[in-house]
Amino acid sequence: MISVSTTMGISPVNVMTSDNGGLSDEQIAQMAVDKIVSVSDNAPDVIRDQANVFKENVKKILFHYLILARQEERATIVHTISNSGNKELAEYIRRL
Amino acid sequence: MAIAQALCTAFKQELMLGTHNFATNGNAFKLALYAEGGGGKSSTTATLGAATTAYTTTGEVANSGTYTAGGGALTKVAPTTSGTTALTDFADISFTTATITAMGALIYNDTNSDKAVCVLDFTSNKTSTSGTFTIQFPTADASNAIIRIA
Repeated sequence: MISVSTTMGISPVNVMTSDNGGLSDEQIAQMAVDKIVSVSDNAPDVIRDQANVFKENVKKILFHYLILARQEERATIVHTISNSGNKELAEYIRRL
Repeated sequence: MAIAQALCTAFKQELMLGTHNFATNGNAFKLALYAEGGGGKSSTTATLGAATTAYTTTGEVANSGTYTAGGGALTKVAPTTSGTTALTDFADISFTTATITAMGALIYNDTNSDKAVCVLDFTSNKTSTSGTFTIQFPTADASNAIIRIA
């Protein structure tokens, strides 16, 4: 008799939620770094520790540039709204 | 447990029957959210697991924000291989300005009679209040992809 065996797998998902608004920069940075760096729970301690340190460093960099991206986008929006004559609304958005 | 993570048994059979096509121009797949403990529609509780065969409204969370009955459409990533493992993936999905409490989700084939693919167990209630509810799929590699055949 000839048979071929195979296994099918499914992995857990990560759920992120927020209240009264969208996800925070911290949450988005965490989601990004979880996609970029993954290390097996069964990896040798030295490798796992090094990967986790690298992961934290990547997260800090992502977090920084996420904040910058939000600020720059907001600046562009404020500029556009201000130029259209809605200076009060522009100032409100700038202060968010 | 009322919601247990599993690749649905019927899905495994249907793969052999060619029912599901995960190619980017293939079938449409959706993700619906479910509650336990009477948190869903009509205070029903979802019972989902390997024996689930199709999308059900029992225990599905109520409409809120961008979440509507049946859930959200998933954006497929074309199946690929890594070593001897075949895998497929979906883009992360978000429901915004939503007040949702969900314990799990069902991915199903919206093209073919809402046939079930897999059940996702969040292991605890996840809640958004007038906010964003995001499901992030794992890294698409041979060890972690959401659906893998090794």
